[in-house]
Amino acid sequence: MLGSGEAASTVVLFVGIGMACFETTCSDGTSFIWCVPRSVYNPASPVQLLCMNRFHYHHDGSDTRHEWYPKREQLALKGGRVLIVQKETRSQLPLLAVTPTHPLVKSLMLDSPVSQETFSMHVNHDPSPTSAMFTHTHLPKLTARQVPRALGSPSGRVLNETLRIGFIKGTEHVRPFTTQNKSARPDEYYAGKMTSRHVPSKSRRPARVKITVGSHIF
Amino acid sequence: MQDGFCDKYFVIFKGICSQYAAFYAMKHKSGLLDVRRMFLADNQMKDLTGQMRMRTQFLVTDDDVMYVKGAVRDENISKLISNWVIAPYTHNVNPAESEMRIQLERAVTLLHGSGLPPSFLIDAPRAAVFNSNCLFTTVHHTPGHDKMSPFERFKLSKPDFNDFGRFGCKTFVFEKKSYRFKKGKSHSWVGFFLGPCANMLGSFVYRPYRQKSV
Repeated sequence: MLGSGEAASTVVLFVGIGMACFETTCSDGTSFIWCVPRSVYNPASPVQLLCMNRFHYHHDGSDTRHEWYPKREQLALKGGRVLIVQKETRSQLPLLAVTPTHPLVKSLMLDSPVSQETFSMHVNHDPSPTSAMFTHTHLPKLTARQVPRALGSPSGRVLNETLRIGFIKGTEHVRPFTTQNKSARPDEYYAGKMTSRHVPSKSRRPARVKITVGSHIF
Repeated sequence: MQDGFCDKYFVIFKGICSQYAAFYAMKHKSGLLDVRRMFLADNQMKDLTGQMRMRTQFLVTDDDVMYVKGAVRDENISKLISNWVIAPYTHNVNPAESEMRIQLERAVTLLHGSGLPPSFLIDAPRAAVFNSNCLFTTVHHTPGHDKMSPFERFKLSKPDFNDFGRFGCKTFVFEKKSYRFKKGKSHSWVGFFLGPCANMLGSFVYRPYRQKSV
């Protein structure tokens, strides 16, 4: 992170972790909104560091079709618009002026000023202007490893059928396990198996108890 | 050993048709009749037109005097519920034996994974029963039930994964303003998750500060 002259001191910093959304202004005056998931944001820092690949690739690895020209100090967007990226004279690092915004602004396409104002009334409760920059309620995506833990470590076949048929809402995106690695089972699974109570298939009736036809029916 | 509600015993009722299991805790064994009445009241499901959709027709038990004699027998007769008594000393034909083994096995799995002490052994079967209701089972007696969990067969809706939590995980419980004695006091307290409730939107949480489950 650049410009962290205060980082060496013992100041407690509260950073935002999640999807960062910011707005940039193109050379023709229009704006372009960027959303960068899995990033850390320090509102106390005047400069944030962003990887170049964030502009070139989406978080799933697909190409954004934007092109960065360091020598020309330009970032050409796929629609033909151009962002001016000037180099800082002392460090020679490219600088891009960004305005923090909220992810819903992009997802809801709130372009009109009225809706922007209405939206900020619901979001920006804090007087600090950094409150609406991040989704603090962002939760990590549910993975296949977390599902059996919440369900009490069921057997592989039961878990796979539960996920395949979709018995539980919210687990539709979790894929069943292709292979069942018995060595990767948690300790609690075997702790439960060790307590299994044997149900005898042979009668434990004492010899002194005589049962005749219908004698046990009250 | 009693749990946070001073319960020492528990009963699990399981429907043979739907495979849906219901957990009830008791303070004394004499509370079996009350629990039985509660189960019948909870599980006589009616649809919107008032037709009976779920009804207990018979009770399968072993040859125990608690079930085949006394108040439970009288209650069954008054409710027109037959009693299917398993012959004595034939444990392998009693479906409750294998069910007890499976549920206690799952309860110990939850208890071991949570790291909670054995004093939570009454709470663990409650969570285990809820989990098993939402899992796949090969047993089905009605066409179409093979693609439904016991929870869906019984309640005609799918459970949400947000209702699940790892047994014994750290839980923050919101405290209303009227319950906060001091101004500026924390708005929540920390406890241990003990499983969801069966008949209401809520969860059982153990509060270590007061050594009590709520």
